[in-house]
Amino acid sequence: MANAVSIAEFVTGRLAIHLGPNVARMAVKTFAQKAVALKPEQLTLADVPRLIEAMRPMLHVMVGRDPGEVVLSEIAREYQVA
Amino acid sequence: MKFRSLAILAGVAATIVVTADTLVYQTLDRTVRPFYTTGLRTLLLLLVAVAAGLAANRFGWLREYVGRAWTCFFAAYSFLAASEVIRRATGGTTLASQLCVIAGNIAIVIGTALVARSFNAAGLDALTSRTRMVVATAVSLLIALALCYDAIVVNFRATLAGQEMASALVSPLADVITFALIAPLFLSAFALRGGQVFWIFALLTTGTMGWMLNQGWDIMAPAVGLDTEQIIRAGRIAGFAIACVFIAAAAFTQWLAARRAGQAVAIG
Repeated sequence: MANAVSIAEFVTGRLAIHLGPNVARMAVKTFAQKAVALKPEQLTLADVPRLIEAMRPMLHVMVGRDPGEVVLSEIAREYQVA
Repeated sequence: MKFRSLAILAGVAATIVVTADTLVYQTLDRTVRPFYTTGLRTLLLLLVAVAAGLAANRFGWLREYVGRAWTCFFAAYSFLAASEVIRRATGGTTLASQLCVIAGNIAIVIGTALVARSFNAAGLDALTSRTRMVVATAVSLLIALALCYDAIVVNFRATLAGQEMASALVSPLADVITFALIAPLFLSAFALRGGQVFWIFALLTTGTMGWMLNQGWDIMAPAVGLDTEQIIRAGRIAGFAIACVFIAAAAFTQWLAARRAGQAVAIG
């Protein structure tokens, strides 16, 4: 569970740089629900690839493709997701 | 450069433009003043066009969502700059200048709407309560109607009397829509506080408030006893400068953020 909490916190922290802490928290909650039907604190390493894919269109709209891909690649690198 | 510094710089730049304009305008001969005003307005519009073009180019113009909004702003401010030049060169309102104004206003409405509905497009529509959004939009629509009412009525009567083309109505009607969109822009900026994107939304919101000042000063100034020709012109130019400088700063901020991300990709 400690690992799961850190996934949500890490992703929120990455998103918050661009979207601010409030929107980042809500985005993780929204896309964790959409991608894997889980609460942020229930996310596991196995859910990270689907979470990344779910957040990709959102980031492309909010910050653009390149900045969005930087955020996603940081998350992927942290959890060693291809 | 930090985005906060860019916002402060935009505020300083707008203040300098307004102060310098007030000082310079008084010293000019009456025959020169219209050319000076056209020159100043054209320069400010071109500033936005260049900055928006930079941002749009960074996002592949129409290829990305963000790029589409900046492409609209680029087109809008290019058309408006062209209309200023055409109007001065021909000595009055012509079909060409009217078409540029219409195209410019429509592009501003589309660009502002694209930015204002970013949250919806991104699938983040649950961030603001529907009630709060409806109330805020209704309030901003009422303010927009109050600011543009005179212009709409005057242009409508002139159109009926055959003194103006129907296209003269497009500008104040487009202003109503753009001003009403300040509610979602402001609420989005408020939600995004603490993040880099906040600055883009905040600068755009401030720029739109500049257009509201530019449009509404004719009504606001006499209401508080400030109805000399000089004060009305100064207020309108202040609104114009705030709008152009802050929207250009928003575009530059967007470009800078994407450029830094691109550099991070290259280094990574």
